[in-house]
Amino acid sequence: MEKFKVIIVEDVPLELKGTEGIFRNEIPEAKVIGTAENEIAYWKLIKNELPDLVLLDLGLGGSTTIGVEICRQTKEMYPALKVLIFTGEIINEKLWVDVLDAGADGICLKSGELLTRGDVASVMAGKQLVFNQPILEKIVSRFKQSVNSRLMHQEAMINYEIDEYDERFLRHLALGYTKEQITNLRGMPFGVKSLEKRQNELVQKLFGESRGGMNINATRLVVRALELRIIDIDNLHSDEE
Amino acid sequence: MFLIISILSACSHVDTDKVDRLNAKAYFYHFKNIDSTYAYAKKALALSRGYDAGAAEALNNLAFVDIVKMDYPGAAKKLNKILSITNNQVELMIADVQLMRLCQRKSNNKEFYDYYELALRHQRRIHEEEERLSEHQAKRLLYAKSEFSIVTSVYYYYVGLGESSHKAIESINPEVLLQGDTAQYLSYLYNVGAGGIPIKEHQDDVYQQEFDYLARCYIMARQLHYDYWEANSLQALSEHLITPQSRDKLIKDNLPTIKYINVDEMPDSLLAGNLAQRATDLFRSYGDVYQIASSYRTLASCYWQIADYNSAIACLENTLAENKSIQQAPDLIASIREQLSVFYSAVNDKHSSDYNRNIYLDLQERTRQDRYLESHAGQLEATSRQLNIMIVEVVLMIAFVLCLLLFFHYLRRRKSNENSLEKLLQPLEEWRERNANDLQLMEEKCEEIQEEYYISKANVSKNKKRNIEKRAKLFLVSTITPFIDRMLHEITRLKSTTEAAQLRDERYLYISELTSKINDYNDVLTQWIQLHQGALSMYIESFPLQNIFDVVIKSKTSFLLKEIELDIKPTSAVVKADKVLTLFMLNTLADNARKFTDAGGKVTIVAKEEPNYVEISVEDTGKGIAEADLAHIFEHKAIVDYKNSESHGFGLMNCQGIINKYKKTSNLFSVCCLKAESQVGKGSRFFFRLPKGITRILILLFVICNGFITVANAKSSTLPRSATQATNHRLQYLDLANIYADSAYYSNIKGNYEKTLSFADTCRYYLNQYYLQLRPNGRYLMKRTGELTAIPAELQWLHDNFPTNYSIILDIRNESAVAALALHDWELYKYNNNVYTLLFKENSADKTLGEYCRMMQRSESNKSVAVILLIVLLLSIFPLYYFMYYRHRFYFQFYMERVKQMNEILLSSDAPTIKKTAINEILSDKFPEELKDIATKIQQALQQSIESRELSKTNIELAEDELRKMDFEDNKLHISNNILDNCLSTLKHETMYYPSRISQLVSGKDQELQSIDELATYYKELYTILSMQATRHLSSIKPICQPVSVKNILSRHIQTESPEMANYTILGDEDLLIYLFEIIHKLSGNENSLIHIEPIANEYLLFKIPMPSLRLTDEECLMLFSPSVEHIPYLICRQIVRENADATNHHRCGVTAISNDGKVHIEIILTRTK
Repeated sequence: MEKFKVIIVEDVPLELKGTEGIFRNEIPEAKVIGTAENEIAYWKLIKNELPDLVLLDLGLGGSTTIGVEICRQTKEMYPALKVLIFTGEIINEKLWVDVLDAGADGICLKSGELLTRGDVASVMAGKQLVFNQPILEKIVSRFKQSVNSRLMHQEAMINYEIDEYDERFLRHLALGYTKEQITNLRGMPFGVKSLEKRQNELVQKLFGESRGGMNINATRLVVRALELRIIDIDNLHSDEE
Repeated sequence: MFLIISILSACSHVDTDKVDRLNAKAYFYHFKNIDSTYAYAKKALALSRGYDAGAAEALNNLAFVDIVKMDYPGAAKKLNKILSITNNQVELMIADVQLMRLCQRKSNNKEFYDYYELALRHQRRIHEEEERLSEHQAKRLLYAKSEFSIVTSVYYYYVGLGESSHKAIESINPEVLLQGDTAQYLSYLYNVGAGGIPIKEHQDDVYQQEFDYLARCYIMARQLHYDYWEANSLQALSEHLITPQSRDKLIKDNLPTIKYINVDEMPDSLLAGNLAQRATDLFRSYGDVYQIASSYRTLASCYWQIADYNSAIACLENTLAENKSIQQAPDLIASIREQLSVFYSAVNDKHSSDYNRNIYLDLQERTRQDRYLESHAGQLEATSRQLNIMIVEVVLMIAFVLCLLLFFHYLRRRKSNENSLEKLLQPLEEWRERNANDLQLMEEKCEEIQEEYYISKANVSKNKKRNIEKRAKLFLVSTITPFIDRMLHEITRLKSTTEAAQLRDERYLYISELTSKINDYNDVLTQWIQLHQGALSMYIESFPLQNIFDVVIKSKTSFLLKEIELDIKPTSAVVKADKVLTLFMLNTLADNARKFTDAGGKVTIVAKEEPNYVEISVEDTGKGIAEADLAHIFEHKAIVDYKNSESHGFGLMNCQGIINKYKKTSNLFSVCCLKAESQVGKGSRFFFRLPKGITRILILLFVICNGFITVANAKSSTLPRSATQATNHRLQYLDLANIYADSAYYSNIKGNYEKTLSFADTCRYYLNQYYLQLRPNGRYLMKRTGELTAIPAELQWLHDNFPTNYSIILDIRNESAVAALALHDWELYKYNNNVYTLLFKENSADKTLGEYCRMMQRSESNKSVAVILLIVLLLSIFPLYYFMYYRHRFYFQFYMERVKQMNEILLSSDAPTIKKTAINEILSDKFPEELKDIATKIQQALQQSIESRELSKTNIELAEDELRKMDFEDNKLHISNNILDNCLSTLKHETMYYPSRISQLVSGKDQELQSIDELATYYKELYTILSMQATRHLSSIKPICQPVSVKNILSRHIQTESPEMANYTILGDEDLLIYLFEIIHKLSGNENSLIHIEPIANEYLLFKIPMPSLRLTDEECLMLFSPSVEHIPYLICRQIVRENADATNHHRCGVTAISNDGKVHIEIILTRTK
């Protein structure tokens, strides 16, 4: 790793101390050319000397999410400048997405192993989407969840013996089509009577015999189908579109 | 009935033929032998029982006999009987005709006309079915008709109406009579001959013709032995032969006839006397009283002619004395008396003459035809007047009844207008009042709800403030996490690497710095929490537990979906606690029970009342909890230890926290506890205890108002009356004539008869002058004396309807006659007496009397009809009244009842919509106008009320919903606040120890490294768990993001530099933004400040607020938002702004303090509304 210049933006002195220690002890290539505890100080610094990397805390003083805007502006002004977010917002996932949208090269949470040499090196090597362990864990779990739902869909199709028409029927029910409208679809060669029969069969399949004395209406059926991933909430499109 | 009648008629069968025969015989002897007639008629009457016509005929014959014998009352009785026993029109007519004769004899003029009319009527009836008459009846009819004409003629003759008399006799066809009824033919002949019927130029010719008729009558009567007619004709002939002038000529012209008549071969001068004597004898033998007297009178005239005055007087006096019954015939008596006066005058018995003349004049007066006007016409007039009075009475009655009805109508109307209609409207008014009250109550309720809403809203904003504070605290907590992580990082570094001792020392130092920082932060947190310790954050109240159960039961559906039975036992228990938190606990326990119970299981919620507390338990038939776990079920350890297993989570911890909080609040809650019992595989029971509460009772009172009743009065009016009067004029000549007439009268009394005649001459002169004055070309002038046969001037005047004073003429003629009588100037007397009698009769006779009578009768009957009609009208007023008014009245009443019904419905306690349908059922188009008005009014009022009620209801419902929403939010915040409180205090309590401990261990450096590591790791885990519990809970409160106008959030004391600035709008939670500026205002030293607002990049608004009370350096400004007790308000501000940024996804939002030469101003950036 080549030498590079870094500006640390951190409002809590004790934290700054720790971060500086990390750079000093673990990433000796980095030369901390300045630290800023607020936005004004930061812009002053960056005008004085342009760094290679900005380690940016998201909350500064009274402005707890100003980092996102600082990142955006920095990236707009200096696209080549690397911005690594180093934040204590360990649960505010929305903020992560926002800051990535603002152009951040990576996000390290102030949790677990904190800032590692590897992560900094990755950023400096030009890698995008550099995340430290805790954030990666979250990303992977979400990914798994998504893949799993795909699997569940397949399993559901097999387990509940859902055919192409059942899927189309349920999908259009979810879209708010009436049965009459559904019968008019090109890929639906049935009349209303058949559709009603099909719906009853679907209720049988998806809810089993016992329904706790509850009547299952179309909405409940569709919600069940969504739960079982028979239809995909992110992929609800009409055949006609 | 018919059968009985026929049997009766068969039994009482009479020989009608025999009766008819007897009657015919009786009739046959009419003018021959009156006794035979009587005998046969009597026989016929006796046999005619059941044969009405026969009996009537018999009675007619008997009446004839009575008339002949002058038993007038008997005749009248029989004739009247006929009228009642038969309806044989012919007999009835005969009876009428006989009655006419009776009246003629008795000079009953009015009755004569009555019977005349009746006879005519019967004749008309007979005429309708003349062809159906039997032969006998036809004969009777012939008799009836001829007799009718003759009697009429005789009547007219006697009242001096020669013309009418002539006309009446003319109507008889003598040929028919000659064929059918000889007796009647003879009667015809006699009457023509005796009654001056023929009209000829010369009086001699008249005498001749009369003589012919009479002679024919005599000859026929003699031949056929009609004694009566023989006598009559003899008498008439005798009268014709009395005066020498006519006698000589007649004898000379009719010698053969005279010879035939003069059976006793009397000399000419005595022939008249002889004939009269024979007539008298014949009448005597026949038995006709009237005619005997009449013939005696003729005989007396004969004596007079031969100047045998005393015989004449004796003859007449004898006649008067002989049969008193002739007094019934006034005419006869009058003529006898007149003759007597002349005779006595002739024998110079002035006294007797005057006596008889006076009787004569009296009788004239009494029998004069216009007596009728005084008596019968008077009677008629009386009846007519009576009828008029009756008509007037009936009309008045009708008017009265009408007025009465109108009055009643008016009264009712007024009453109905003023009272009943008003009364009908009264319930409406009452109801309106009630309705208005109801609406008022509803409005008040709505207002109450509104007030509650405002209270709730204030609570929400208060709770929001608390909540944001707790969030700020939590943010403080979250800022500690990086310190712990850094600590752990340093420890990891220390453990894994062998760095230089100096570096290691630095790391240890850093750790100790971190721990002391954490301690600092913990201190801030502790003090912050303690800051509000005093303020009670729970709403303690007494409430029925059932209220809570009712809410919990709403989650039944979620249980059903999992096929779990939820059984909530009703309870009457009242507890004292925080309602919302109790509900939260119960829901948490119920949710846990559901989570750990499989399908088919059962969850039971039951409250048990104990002396000091109420125990609420949630029992399930789930999998149960192992004993070891049960001990720690309410601790966080359970969560830490069984991280990956299913756990009761933070719910139980929160519940435990609430119970602990109760305990901390007051000794009252020492009974509070939360416990669990469980057996693996069988299920669990979680229960908590709350202190008992007190119930309250509310009583409501209603007041009802009464209406008033009004009474109405009536008025009446009177009518004025008026009368008119007329005046008369007199004429000069007539006055003079009258004076001379009076003078004549007085000179007569004085016996100066010559003078009387000269006065009479003067009087006549003036009367003639008067006549000439009016009729200058008049030919008829009154004379002193003249021809008896010529028509006198005054009679001509009368016939010409000349308007003069006839009473003067009568007076003067009478006085002249009296004077002439006294002077024995018989010619003068005869002329004057004749003129007087004629004039008197003609003047008093009234040609139009019959007509007048008929008219009167007609008008009488018309009036009767009118009376009847009026009575009918009067009577018909009532049904008419019913139809015209009362039916309406009933109809009105009927519908009024309906309206009353409507009113009853209106005032009933039913719901307005039910009332409306009920009223609509009653309502129809047939309502009378006034009622319809009321009905529509009621309907409209009801409709309006329904609408306004509906509106009010909707308003209340909406307000209630708003209130519920507020309550719901309030409750949510309340729970959240309490839970956050619990979480934070737990966090504080549980973790406070570790930083200090680590700090202590750090001094031991490497020897203690292991312990430090273990402790720090555990600290981190615990801290994460506890802060997670709180953070997780944060998500239950959803951020609010609405456009808010700047002027709405700035407090009164903060002004914008320019007014436009106040019009900017920003996004966020209004309550929190207001709170933000409140805090800022407080921090600025509560002084009025002027703020500057400017937009940034159209997405943000920058608020620049001067803080005159602050004097800070740049450093101090930077540190303003670092955790410290003094900075708590700033931390809250920061939290508000942070939440705002988070909700709006605008990250530039923030709050900074900027120092300018020590003068501080705060800049706040907030998201601007697009």
